[in-house]
Amino acid sequence: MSATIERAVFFEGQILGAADLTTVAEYDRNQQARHERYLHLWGIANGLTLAPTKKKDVNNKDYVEVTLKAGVAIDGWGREIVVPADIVLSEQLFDDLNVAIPDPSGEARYPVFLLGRDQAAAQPAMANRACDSSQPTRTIDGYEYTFGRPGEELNLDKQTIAHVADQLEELSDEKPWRVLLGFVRWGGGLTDATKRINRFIGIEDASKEGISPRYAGVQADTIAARAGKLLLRTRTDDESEKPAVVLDEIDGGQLRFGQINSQGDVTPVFTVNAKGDLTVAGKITSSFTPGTVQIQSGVATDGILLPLPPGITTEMVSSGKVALHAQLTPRIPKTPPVNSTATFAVPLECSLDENRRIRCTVRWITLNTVGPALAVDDRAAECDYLVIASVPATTGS
Amino acid sequence: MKKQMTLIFVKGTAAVAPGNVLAALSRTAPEKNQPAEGTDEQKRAAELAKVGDLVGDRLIVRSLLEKTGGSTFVLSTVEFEVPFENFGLFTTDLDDAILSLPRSYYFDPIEKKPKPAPDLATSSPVGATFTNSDLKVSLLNEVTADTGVWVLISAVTGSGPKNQVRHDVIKKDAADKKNITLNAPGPLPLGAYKILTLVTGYQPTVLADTVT
Repeated sequence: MSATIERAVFFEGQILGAADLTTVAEYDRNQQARHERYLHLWGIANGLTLAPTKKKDVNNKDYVEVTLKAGVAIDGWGREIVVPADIVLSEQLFDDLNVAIPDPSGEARYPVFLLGRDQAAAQPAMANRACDSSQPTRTIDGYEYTFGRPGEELNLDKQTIAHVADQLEELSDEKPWRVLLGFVRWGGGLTDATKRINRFIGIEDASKEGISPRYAGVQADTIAARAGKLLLRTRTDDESEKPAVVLDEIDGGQLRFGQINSQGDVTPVFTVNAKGDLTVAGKITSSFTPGTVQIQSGVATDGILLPLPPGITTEMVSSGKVALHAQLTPRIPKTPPVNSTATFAVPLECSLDENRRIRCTVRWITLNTVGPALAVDDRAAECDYLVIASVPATTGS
Repeated sequence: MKKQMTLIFVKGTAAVAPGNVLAALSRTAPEKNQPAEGTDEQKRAAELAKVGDLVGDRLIVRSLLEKTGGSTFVLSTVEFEVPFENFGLFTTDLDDAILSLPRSYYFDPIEKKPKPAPDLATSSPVGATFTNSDLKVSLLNEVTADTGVWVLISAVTGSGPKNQVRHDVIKKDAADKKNITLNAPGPLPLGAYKILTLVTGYQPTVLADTVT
């Protein structure tokens, strides 16, 4: 980790060394990296999709040729990774990495990762340099792609992070940051020999657990528009029929949600203005509608919590958002319990404790003809319950 | 639609759980059920969330019969607090016989239905005996199938735990098919303990022993 951030300065008559000029270049590069690290979130910035092309080999077996499309990503260290042109993914590399697992059905999804990698550039044919020097005068801001075993796409957020003053050059000894591009399926493990092939047989956008490539984002506590209208949409282009949210100064302030129409505007289905008036084109559906009651009833045994009506949660009750009205009625069993000589039973306890737990017992009574006149036997029992959860009506004030 | 009831049974984490039903309920307004999706761990987490809604962090179990020797039983005064993570839920058509005496049933995960346990006299463990802190549970008969044994140990006197859970499985091909020792996670303080003992196909039984 660098203790200081140094910037090159020059003076008249200074003899410039290679280190001075390198400092100039590295200062800009690392300043940009810090910007990317702390004002953005790592991920794909543009392109870098996997595109399959269906093909057949000489034995007429199906496979796909997978092309990584050109694009740009920002890794977790703030390094820009550029893939300048489309490139076909190497099946030989996949085989050499030995990541394939037993996969008789060809369903396993192998993650494809992109890494930033500095590479020494070839010497220009007519480079100006000292006669005894063969060092390159350029470094390629290069990239590398690789494959992982299924599951290696997990925990990509837990890679080695860069500290505030770390220079990209200092991180070159660390395990390169991996950016997930997608998944490939491999045909080398297929049980069916007529289909088995040491090539890719498909691509997938996400793992079976739903992990998909991550796109670059922003870190910001304030996002400000310059013309009184802020638009938030789900696509980089204003594709029609895609959802969007608009925050607009019109009429004192409006929040609108809807789909983008063919003119590039949002057709609102939900609008709230600065006065708090809400306009909704559809219907409002909620199990938690103010001014309503929800009811539940049934039978429950001693020791459990009083069941709540559908849509009503413990949190709503404990926070006072809903009021509960409960009635419990003990059920007197028809037959005496096992190991009892009792002849009849009476309710002993049927209540809720402070945690909404049902406490229900009945007292079985034995009338003796000899010995003590009365013997009692208290047993847990079940009860009928009726719960009414009332949601208070609210006003806008 | 037929009325439904939900059984709260001991599922535990063992490969073979005892399955004893310890509580039950019915609900007139049906639960908004969404089929659990995802990995087994995610499905279990969803099930436990529902268990938590019904029992909180523990289920209070009381009025069980305690075996005092031979085939003699007395009503236990102990309230056992069974941690919620030991339970599973099974929802099925309402059966009044089960709903009124749920503890006389156990859930069979293979046939996926509740089954009645035999009478207490013929389906209660013979005993539970501490050797130091390890607990040996003895059954009436040799098992003929892998059988889950689950206990909750509750101190009556002393500073011992109130709800220590131990469980294991008696394998049908084990050398000893009637007894199993449930090892202690750590030494138990001296004192008297009540042991809620659940065994696949047996009635819930309270046993007592002392760590000396």
